[in-house]
Amino acid sequence: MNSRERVMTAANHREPDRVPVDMVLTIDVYRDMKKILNMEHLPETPRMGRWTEVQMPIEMIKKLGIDMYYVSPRSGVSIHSKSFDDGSFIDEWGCYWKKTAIDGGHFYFELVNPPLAKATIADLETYIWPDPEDPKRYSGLKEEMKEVRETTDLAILAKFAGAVFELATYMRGHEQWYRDIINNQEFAHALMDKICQIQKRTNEVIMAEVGEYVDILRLSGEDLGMQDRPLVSPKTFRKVIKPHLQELWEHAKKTLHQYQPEAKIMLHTCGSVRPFIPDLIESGVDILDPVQPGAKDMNRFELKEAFGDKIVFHGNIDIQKILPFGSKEDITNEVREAIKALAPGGGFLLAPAHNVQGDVSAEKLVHMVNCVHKFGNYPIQLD
Amino acid sequence: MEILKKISETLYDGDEFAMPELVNEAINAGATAQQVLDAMMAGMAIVGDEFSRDELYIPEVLCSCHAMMEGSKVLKPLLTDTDAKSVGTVILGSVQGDMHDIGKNLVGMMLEGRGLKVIDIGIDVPAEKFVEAAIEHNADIVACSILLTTTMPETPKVVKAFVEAGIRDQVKIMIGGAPITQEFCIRMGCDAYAKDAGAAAALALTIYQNN
Repeated sequence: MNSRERVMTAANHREPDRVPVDMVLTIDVYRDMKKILNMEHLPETPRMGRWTEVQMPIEMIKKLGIDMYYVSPRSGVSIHSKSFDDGSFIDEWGCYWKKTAIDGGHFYFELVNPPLAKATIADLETYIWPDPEDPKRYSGLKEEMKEVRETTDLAILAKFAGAVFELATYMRGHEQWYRDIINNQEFAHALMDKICQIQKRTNEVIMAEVGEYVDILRLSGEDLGMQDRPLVSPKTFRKVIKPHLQELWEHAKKTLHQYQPEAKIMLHTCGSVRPFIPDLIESGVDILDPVQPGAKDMNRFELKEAFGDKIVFHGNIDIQKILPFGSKEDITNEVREAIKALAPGGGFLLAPAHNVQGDVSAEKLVHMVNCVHKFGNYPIQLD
Repeated sequence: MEILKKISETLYDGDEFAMPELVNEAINAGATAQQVLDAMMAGMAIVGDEFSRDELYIPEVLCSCHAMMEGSKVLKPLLTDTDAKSVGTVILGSVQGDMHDIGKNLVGMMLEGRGLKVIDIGIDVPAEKFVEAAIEHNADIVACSILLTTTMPETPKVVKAFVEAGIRDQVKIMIGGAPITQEFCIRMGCDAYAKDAGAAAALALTIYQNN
């Protein structure tokens, strides 16, 4: 069974030959990975996204023994777009991403100065929004995906249009936005509808170009959970937020299936999100990422029992404690437990429960992959 | 007074738009500024407790905090010096490298809602700035927000800065944030860990009451 068959078998709730594994590295850990795999000839900074995640070269994917190629999204350019000397930038939506140093020489982009902090509904009409037709958004994409499809047997996971709820948070500022969804719902609906229509069109435009190469479409992240509870109450979610997300997700799936009927839809939503899982299933989400193991009510055995026949789990290897601070033995146990809980019957794609940050050594990630190769073979026999 | 009960309830409901008028109404009906403030703080105490028990969500709590702020704006000119003496001063900031402010702001509003004076020194705050602020404001609590695994190493630097300044025994260092645990708090030599904003406010009050 090749990587693509392995991933798609698991994504269809059947048992492949072994549990598929993948990961996304941020820049520092990518550089560390180059060193320990003796791949110094690879580029120092492959294409980097706003979370400092990089496009892992095919050669590294193969050497590491993982199953998925991530196609990172390209962004368009608008009147707002700007780059600064210190590495900070303003994106096409007008959101300012400040380059921020982290202990140990790493860095990250953090959001500051939300562009619509003071906006009214009328302002939403005059704001200059990104153009979904902007060809920069898919420039070079077809060539890249075609090459991966034709020269490898990797599954292709792609992310195209951005988020709705989460982008509204960026544009409005967290605090103001959370108040809006309670006390200013008319505005909240107007903003999410505006963003949703642009994202829908963006998906249409890009999928017309490259939809045929997609195995898994990763919907842009809509983080709905915190560490100890959902970010919003299920009541507020269903009344205010869900209608817009459901509109985008159902449209994305329908559009994608015109070009690739077998493709799956993955939603990234961090934290404690258990109360929302039935809503995601109802909205057509096939795969849930990242199934954050340390968050409240996210017990992997209970989730499999409750939802395992209706949704596929992706991620689940703890990145808050075990990968950065745990020993190799801790990692072995984590991988074994995740496989034991989630892999039986298929429906599990193992990965770190987020983009891996610079506080995790590449050596630990290699060990994680080795554990999957060792313990993840079907039929699963772990006690 | 019925209106005071309504103020507590409106605070709990987080109706920031209704609050100023209700406060005026209470004052016109003969309530003292201190009584109105107490009524708001009573509502905030329930919000804090329910949040700590995982019964409330951030958006609702933020609305309650803003209702408190709106009500306080009306009250401020009416409060005399003897009224509303804050029970203590807290220096509050997100540690260096951490640009996140919502958790910090929530803690700040919750602390104020429980009667503490909060000096918010912002995000991305170097260790020595916590020390400077604590000295300048004669604070007894320093509260650090740490949201990332990658900013957790800032914690011992803050503790060390207080040791080096020779005032470690004069302040209590409280920490909180998604990756933080009680065990980490003890290991780093901090004084208290709060699992959320409601717990932070309750903990700060306890610290002052014990001092």
